[in-house]
Amino acid sequence: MAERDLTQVAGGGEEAMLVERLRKIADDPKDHFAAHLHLSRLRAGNRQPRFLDIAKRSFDQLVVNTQSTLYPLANSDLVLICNKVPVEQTDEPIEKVRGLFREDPLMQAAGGGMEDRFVSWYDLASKDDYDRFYATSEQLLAAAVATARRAETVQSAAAKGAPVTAANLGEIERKLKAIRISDLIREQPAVQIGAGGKAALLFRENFIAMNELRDRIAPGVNLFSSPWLFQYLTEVIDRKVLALVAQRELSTQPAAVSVNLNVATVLGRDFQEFHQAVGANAAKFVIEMQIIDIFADMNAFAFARDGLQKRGYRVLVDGINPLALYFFDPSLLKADFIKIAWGPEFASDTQDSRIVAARETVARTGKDQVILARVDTEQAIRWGLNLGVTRFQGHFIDRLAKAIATKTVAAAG
Amino acid sequence: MANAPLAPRPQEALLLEYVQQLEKVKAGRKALHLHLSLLRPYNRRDTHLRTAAANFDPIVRAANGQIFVLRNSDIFFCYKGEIQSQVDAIVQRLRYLFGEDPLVSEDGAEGKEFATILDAATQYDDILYAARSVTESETKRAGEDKTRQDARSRLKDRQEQGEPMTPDVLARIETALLRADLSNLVRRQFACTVDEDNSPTQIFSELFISIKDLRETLLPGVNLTSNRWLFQHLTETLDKRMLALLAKTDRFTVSGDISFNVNVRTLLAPEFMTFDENVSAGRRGSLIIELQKEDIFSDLGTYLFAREFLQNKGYRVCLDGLTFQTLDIIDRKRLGADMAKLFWTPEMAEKPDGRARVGRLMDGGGKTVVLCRCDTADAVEFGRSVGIELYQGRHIESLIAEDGRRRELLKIKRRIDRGGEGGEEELAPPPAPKGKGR
Repeated sequence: MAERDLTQVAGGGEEAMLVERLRKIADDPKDHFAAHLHLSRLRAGNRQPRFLDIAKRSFDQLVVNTQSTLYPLANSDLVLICNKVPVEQTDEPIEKVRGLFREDPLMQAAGGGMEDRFVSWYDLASKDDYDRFYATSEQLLAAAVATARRAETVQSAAAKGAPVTAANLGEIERKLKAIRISDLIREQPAVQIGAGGKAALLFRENFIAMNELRDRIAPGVNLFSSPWLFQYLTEVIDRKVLALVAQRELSTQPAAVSVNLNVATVLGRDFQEFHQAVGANAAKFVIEMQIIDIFADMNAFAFARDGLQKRGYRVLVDGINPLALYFFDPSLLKADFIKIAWGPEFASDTQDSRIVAARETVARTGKDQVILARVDTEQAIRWGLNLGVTRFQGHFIDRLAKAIATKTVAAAG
Repeated sequence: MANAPLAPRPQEALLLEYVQQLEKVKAGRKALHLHLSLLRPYNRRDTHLRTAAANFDPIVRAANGQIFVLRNSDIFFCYKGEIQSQVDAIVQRLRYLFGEDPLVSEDGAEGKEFATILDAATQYDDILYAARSVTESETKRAGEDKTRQDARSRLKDRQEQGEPMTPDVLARIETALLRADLSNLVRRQFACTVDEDNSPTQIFSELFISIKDLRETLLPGVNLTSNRWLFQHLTETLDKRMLALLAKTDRFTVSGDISFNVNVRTLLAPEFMTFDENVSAGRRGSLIIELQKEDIFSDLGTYLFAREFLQNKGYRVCLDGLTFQTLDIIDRKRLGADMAKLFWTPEMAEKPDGRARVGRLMDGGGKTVVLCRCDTADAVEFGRSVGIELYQGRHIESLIAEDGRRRELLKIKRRIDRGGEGGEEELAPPPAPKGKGR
């Protein structure tokens, strides 16, 4: 999500200017003050460059009309240095920025009044404040330079590449249709954790390794740059995956399998063919559909869901982030499972109304229906258990599942 | 929806032809008639029919039968008797699929028959009769083409006959859009309150680029909406053009409060920033930004940020695209939009809990919800019963036209009445908006 600004390769430019400025002020610090806005403490999802740009713009008027300077730092923080400016004049832009990120836990904490974690104020005329802020600025500079250096080395590898556009999509689609993808199918188990930490396998999700697919059909292109064009490509992928999975020998396969499909695919000809091939084993399949696709045509989804469930398939609603639980009720989608994608940025949500809402949603949906995915750490599992979730998927679970498999094999032998 | 299995050629004629040839080889042949035209309208949308028809694909491919999907939604399937069990299984599956429709749940009652199976050997005349009658009614229907509600679905049918949207077509359109002047493709539709005597008052108007006209102008014969995702991508391009048009007030003057649709992603693009800079602070309060629900949920974090940004600046935000199926699921209040648009469908009035469910949406007051796509007076009648005050759609447009005519007549009448007095002064108030949103 958060894309790194490629223009800031040198690193520490703004920080260096800030330190320089402070040095100049040192001779005559009268009437100067600094406000340090800790945007770096926002959740990662809220630190997107386009958000930060808008936050910066809130100070345009102030900077034009008064002797103020804004330093947008590499870590997303903003520092405002004002000279002979009534402090009240800074209230409006700062409140505006606070409003922009009102949904972030950082702002909610600030509401308590005890301590403002969002803004730190320094009266630069006071020697004490000046020294403290000078030290902070030097630290920020050092950190920025270090980060830039690190970024430089990983950048080439992590380059997200050129966006998908209408102009290159046709070529990508043609390649996608032509290539073999059977070797790009990956599996990840979803498990249920019972009392005493015992785990049982629910199903194995089959998915396409997107990075490898990208290298094969569109090297150097960021397939995710447009959600809509990506969704278009998934319809093509669906057809290939269905054809592959339909060929599998299912009678010997013990565990259920999940595949990701578009609603349109489920209602289309390719799925009919798939059903002809595997219909007898429908109970072994979980069909995952994305929330973006579901909301686009709820009627079609309801029809697809009913058709699937009546034929014995199980239906899973994918693509729900924890934040969304506060804004819609997935239990009403009448799916067999809903999958919530965890991210470390949600760890800071511990007791506000959101958590309460999420816990209620889990209870309403039925805890056996909710799967917490992208579980990479033990912390994520604890977060899930706290909500009443007992079913999980993710890298952390992969290790656990391997242990189960070994045990099963041992028991069988 | 690119893989629509429904052929665009007149299936009724083909069916009749087929049945006439069947006469020579009646033995062992059967015909299944699925009366899908008797399903409730909301159960016979394109997706339903396509799914139903797709069930027969394997048999058709094995050359054991021939399918005819008719304009009225009925399906005829002619097949060899030896695959009867397969056909039975499909009928059973479809019965299950449409299980909640009265046609199936009350199957056997007067005039309610889901499926009929006819044996060509013994009931050939019945098959011929059925094929003839659908052909005749289709010919008749084609004659009186301008009737009733069907218009929209027929338009859609016709569009679907066009060249489907593909990435290459999309690329061509985007290139063409760079040069095209879109200002004459902008249309407006009013959202109104409607009095007891059916006289409408304009509250705001929605501006949009007519997709139909765009298609005619740029690439006649291409069905721009045939793929949902490619179309959605195209709307991002159109958003930016619309913003540019709106910012140029000298070329494009609009009075009153207006609304327009954009993608959430567009709100954070440089084009929106430029637009925002060109709009005076006072004007922002009269602008309503409409955002689609699926777009909102595809990136909720961005929506929350953008909503806050817009509202801080004084714009109003409208949650667009709510339907009867989604209104319970989405928490409109927590999403914090100032307004919401709900698409009218007759099932709201038909379903026993319809009123209660729509009523719950009205929490923010009647003027924050717009019932749109109102094609008939039923929509307004229903809306009133649940406290909705704002309406939009073709029915409302016709009320506005009617109201205009009425005022015009009134003006003439007064002029005639006063003609004797020789008065030349202003006679009647102009049909301008009676009030504004704020």
